[in-house]
Order: sequence, then structure tokens, then C-alpha cells
Amino acid sequence: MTYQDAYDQLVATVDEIENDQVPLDELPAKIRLATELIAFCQERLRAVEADYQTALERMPKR
Amino acid sequence: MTPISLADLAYTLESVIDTAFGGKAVWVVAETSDIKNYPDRQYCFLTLVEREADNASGKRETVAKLEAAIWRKNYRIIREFETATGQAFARNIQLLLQVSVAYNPVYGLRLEILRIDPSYTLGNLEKERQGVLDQLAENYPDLIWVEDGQYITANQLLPRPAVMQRLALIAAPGSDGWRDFRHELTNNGFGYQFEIDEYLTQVQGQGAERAIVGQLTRIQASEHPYDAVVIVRGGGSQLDFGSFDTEIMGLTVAAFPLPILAGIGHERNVSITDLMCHQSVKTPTKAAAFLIDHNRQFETNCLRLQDRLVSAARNTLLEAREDVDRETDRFRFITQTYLRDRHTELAELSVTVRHLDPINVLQRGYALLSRNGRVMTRASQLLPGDDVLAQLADGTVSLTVGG
Repeated sequence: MTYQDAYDQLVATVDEIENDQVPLDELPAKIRLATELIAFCQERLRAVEADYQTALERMPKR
Repeated sequence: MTPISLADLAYTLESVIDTAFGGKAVWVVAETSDIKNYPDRQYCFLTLVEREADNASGKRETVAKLEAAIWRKNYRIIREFETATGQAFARNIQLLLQVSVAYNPVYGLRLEILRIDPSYTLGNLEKERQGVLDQLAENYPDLIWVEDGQYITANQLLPRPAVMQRLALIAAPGSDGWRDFRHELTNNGFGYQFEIDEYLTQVQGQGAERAIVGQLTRIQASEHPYDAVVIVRGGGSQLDFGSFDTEIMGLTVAAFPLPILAGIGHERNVSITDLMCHQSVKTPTKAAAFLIDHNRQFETNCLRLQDRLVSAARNTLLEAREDVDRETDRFRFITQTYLRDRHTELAELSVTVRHLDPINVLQRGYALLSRNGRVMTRASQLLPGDDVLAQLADGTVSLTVGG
């Protein structure tokens, strides 16, 4: 899964919950899904941020 | 016939020539040959000749020949001529001279050169140069042509490498031009490294064009991936520049498969080599500066791209970070809201349900009548003597309907 896929799915899930489209019985599954998507996005983003920092340090100084 | 003495004859000649030419100055066009120059003693002997124009056999017969001298009082005109024309005072050049004619019984007939007209020589040089250029453009139209009054050559149109670092240097060994170029390049303020292969040779004087073309041929044959060829000359005299105006030089440079940078130090006019090459600058030092500046531009572009990369990446990350944080917050808030809403719904329902419970009515003094488990709501449903159950707030009692 790409970051963008996960993010888009996260937004859609939150939208669904917000618009009362989720029956209560399905809520735990939705919450689990959204939590996993958030964790995935955070992890991916942190990895990219770390890469960026490493790259910055390796660039020649002006 | 009575013979006269040689001296008498010579005196007669002297008198005739003096009568005709004494105190007069004559402008004459002549070609130099056999120059005997004595700079230490500040005089110069030379022979002036006139040759007929090219005949069918290609030979130019001499039609006149006179001895001439430049004496000490006019000796400076040699240096002045060289400075003004950039042309060495040498044999086989056409000059416009102001001379006086003198005959000496012992030393013979000799022209004294009083002045040399540099503009005549310059004009000739220019005509010659233009002739060579016309020939080049006519004979090699796919290599050399004119656009908007400018010469365009194949060498000029070669793509210029983004970085010019691997260089083939043509210069005279130990010359000022060679030293200046190397010094400027190796001591550049940016710490740029250059890889210089030297192809040393004479770069001026008789036959220099052959020597330079020879080195260009070696460079091409080496198949080394040079970024450019640099030809420098300078620091020394402005003379003997002719090699750079020859057809062979012009053609070789125009057709050369690597960009040629010329810094051949000619202040006055632009040589054919300058016109044909990829880039020409005035001096060897400027040639080095050109290369450093060219590479500096590349580095500047790289650094600019780096800046753009860094800020674009940072923006992308910041936006992503914002998005994720926002969605995480929204998720927390929305789920809480969702659950709270369900609680509220339930609570409202339970209130409604509680309100509907008949106990609330009974406690206010009402009773619920039922017969055989059915709630009685109408008087007509009951007859006198019917047994009913009355439910009160705290219990039930049996009742019988009276008459």
C-alpha cells in the first residue's frame, strides 16, 4: 500500500464515521482500520522525514 | 676615345643623382628582402625589390632591386611600425616607404628609408585576411558560413560541455601565455580541479600554423575525452601573428570536433582563428577565467537546484505532516462524537420509555382496571357483577362492578 492510498482511505473512513454512515456494530472494525491507517501513515512519513534529514546533511554546504 | 677615371664617373653620377633627387623624399611601394638589422648599433640594411604579379608559371620575376638603409636617426620607425601593425619588420612584406635617394662614390646607390606607412600594411593585411576568409567560406560552406555579417562555424556550434575540466592545452613551452594560463587555472578561488594535457609547440613565427595543426591532429588522434582544446599565446610580442590568419589554421579550427578556446593575445584585431573557434578571448589569463566562470555557472545552477530540492521536499513533508495530524485529530474527535451521540440517543429513549410507564399515572391516583388479563378502557365493556382487578401504585385489589 502506498502512503497516498492509506491516507485517502483514512480520510474516507473518517468521513464515513462523521456522516453517520457507519452502523454501531461496524464501528469497532472502522476504528481498528482507521487506527492502523494512521499508524501506517505516521510511520511512512517519519521514515521519509528521516531520509530527508540524512540527505540534507550529506549535501554540500553553501 | 679618352677614358675617364672611375672616380670622375662616380662623381658625375653623384652629381646627376643629387640634382634629380637631392633633398627630396619619395614615397615608394616595395617588398623587403635580405634584412640585416643591428639593433645594438641602431641601424638596418635591407634590400628592396619589386616582383611582377603572379605569372602563368607561378613564378614572380624580380623587376627592380635597390639597396636601402635605416640609419640611427630614424631607427625607431622599425619599432613604431611593428607596434602599429602587429607585423614583424621582416623579409617578404610589402611596405609603403618614404625614401631619399643617395649615391656615394664608394658605397654606391642606396635608399635611405625615412618613414614607413603602417596603414598601407594594415590595409594589405586586412585585404589578405578577408581574402582568406572568403576562400574558407566559399570552399567549405558546410563548415564555415556567414549569418547576419557574422562567421558561423561548425566548431562554434559544437555543444559546450556543462563542465569544462579535461583540457588539451596548446602553448609554447615556458612561455608567458602558458604560465599565465596554468597559474590562473590552478589558483582559482573555487578549488576547481582541472586535468590539463599539454601539447607544447611554437605558436608564433614562421611555420607555427603547421606546428599547431600538428598538435590538433595529435589531440584528435588521442581520442581522449577532452572537454575542450585551449590555444594560448601571449605575454610576449604582438608580432608574428600571421599563423593565426592562415587558411589551414582557420579550416582546421572550424572543422575541429572539440570546442576550441583561443586566448592568443592579440589586442588589435581579431584573427581568423578567433573567428573560427568555439570561443575567443583576448589573453591566456582570460581563457582560464572563462573556463573557471563557465564551471562556476554550472556549480551555481547545481546549488540553486539543491535549494529548490530542499525546499520543495520540505514543503511536501510539511504538508503531509499537517494532513496526517489533522486527520488523526479529526478521527479522534469524530469517534468521540459518534459514541457520545449514541449515548445521547439511548438516554433520550430511556426517558421516553420511562414516561410511558403506567406506574407514573398510577402514582398520581389513577387505577388500571383489567378483567381476565385484559385492560378495560371503556365503561361499556363492564356489566354489574363483573369481577375486575384494579392495579394501584403499590399493588392490586379485586373489585366487583356494582349495579
